[in-house]
Amino acid sequence: MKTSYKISMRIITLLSIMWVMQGCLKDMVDTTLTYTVYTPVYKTLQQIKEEIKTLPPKDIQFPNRIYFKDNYVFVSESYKGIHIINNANPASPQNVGFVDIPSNRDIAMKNNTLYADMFGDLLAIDVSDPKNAKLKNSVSNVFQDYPNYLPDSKIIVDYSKKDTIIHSKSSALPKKGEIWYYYDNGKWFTYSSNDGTNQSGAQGTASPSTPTYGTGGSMSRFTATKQRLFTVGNNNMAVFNITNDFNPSFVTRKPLPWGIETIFPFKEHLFVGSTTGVFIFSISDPDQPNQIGAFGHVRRCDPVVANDKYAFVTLRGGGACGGNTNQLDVLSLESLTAPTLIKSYALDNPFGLSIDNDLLFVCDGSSGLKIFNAADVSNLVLKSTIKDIFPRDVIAMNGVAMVITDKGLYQYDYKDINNIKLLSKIEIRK
Amino acid sequence: MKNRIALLIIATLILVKSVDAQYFNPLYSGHFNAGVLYGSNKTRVQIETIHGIKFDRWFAGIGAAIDDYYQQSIPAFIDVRGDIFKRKKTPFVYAEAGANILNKGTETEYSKTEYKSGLFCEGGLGYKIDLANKTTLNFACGFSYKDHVENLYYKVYYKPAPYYSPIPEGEWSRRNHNKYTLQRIVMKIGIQF
Repeated sequence: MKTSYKISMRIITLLSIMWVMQGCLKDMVDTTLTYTVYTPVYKTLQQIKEEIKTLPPKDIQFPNRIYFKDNYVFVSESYKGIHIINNANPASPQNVGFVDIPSNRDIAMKNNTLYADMFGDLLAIDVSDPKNAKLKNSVSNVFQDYPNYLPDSKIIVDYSKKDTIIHSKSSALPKKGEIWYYYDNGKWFTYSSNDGTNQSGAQGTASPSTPTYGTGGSMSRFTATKQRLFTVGNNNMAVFNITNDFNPSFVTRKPLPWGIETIFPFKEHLFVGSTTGVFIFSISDPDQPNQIGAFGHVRRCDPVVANDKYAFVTLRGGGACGGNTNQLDVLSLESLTAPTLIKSYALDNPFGLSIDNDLLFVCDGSSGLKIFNAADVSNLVLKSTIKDIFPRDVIAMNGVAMVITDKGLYQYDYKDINNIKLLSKIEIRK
Repeated sequence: MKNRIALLIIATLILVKSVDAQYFNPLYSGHFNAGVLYGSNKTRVQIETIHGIKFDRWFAGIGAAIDDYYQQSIPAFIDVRGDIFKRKKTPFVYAEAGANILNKGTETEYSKTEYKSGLFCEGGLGYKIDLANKTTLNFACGFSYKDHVENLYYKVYYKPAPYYSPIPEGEWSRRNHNKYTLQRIVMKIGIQF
């Protein structure tokens, strides 16, 4: 009895000491927060327009759209401007300059005029001498998807970068799941629904009698054909008359369903890709594009290209695109008013695509650039796969495939489809 | 804290040093222990196994544990312990020191957590009772310390205008470096064979 009493007392004493000691224990976390502070650099609209010219070449960092015309490749740098690359010799492309256009996303060309968006404005830039590009004119507040200018007419054109480190020491709190803080650039832009067509700048010059247009990638939202510039926003299509190259004028805006992504011209038609389907417009009257057909699909991201008989649509799932299937749909255009699905082909992570006669080039993300023989659309034959790149968009013409990849602008010679050669690459430098 | 741990280890080593060489007759011995870890965060369990050699009143070995306190880890350590008396029931002291090993972390499309292993130390007092066949039942209570580093990153992608972000697309754009120091009281029960 006495022994058990002693043991009990010892245990109670021990537990009491531990309970007292527990108050002295504290789990701590010593935190070092590494922030990068981005401070906006402002310019007035007038300053920006005055400074639009060809600057010395810059490294490609975040390529977005690709456009080809007259031996020049134009690569848009996401939200920053346009790289001009002399591609007369695809084996040795020369980066000749950079045109600084804040917020730019899309481009298209007619003759020697480059049309580019800048915030809500459309710019007409003379690139007849690519080393000496000049802003000729602009149409204000015509892109509804863009923010309106800030109230004081100052625009964020860049950010200065400064690293900051903060140390702190605190109690390690019980884990209840991670909390992630997302970047907020501190300014919420107001949304503009202004349909205005204000124009400013220099007067236009006469166009050559036979206009020439460039070729855009399939992810493009701008296209120029039939003396018109067609642009698509998230839920609309805008038409500009560019008969006078340097003096584009707003014609009309057509409302479209939400989720519009790309536009591709073929002869008398425009193929508009959206997250929910492909819309076909007749442009026999280019001032009034008329929807004549549509093909619906499940919600996916879907650039589209077409030829006389077929349309090729890649559907990419995941993220904002929705769903998780990835495929290539081949549509029959026998009836443009009612395109029908011929066959679907499984892909891994498709982005842009391009067709050159019977060869179909598909950017399949991490699975590389896939080249199919599309002579028989019911039985596409994979002829070649270029791996080790993450292609996003491609223009294939005259035996040269110009590919925007995660590593830069890559060009391939596919004149011999069984022996595709890398001609050149302009690599991204961050 | 580190001074206290160092003192404990030094005291244990002095005791080991004082062992008379004539009694040195090492034999294999192992431990299986289970206990609770009690600190300012949620009480958790610890399970450990230690294997080494026993000589006279002393034991030295290497061990590994599963430590579920705050951030699950696997301490790998050297264990030294000595009985206070040469009797069937005796108090003992023990000390453990080694690495606090964590998994590499997790990574998703948008976020990444990296763990880096840290230090593990433990020391305390116990009481052992001889059972049959050279097996003993051990009770122990002590102080346990572990630390580790956690690095957090996440990616920001360009948002469509007007939500333009200046942060480069797809880069790990923020780093939070957290060093956790966790102090616990440990109570264990186990067998030595």
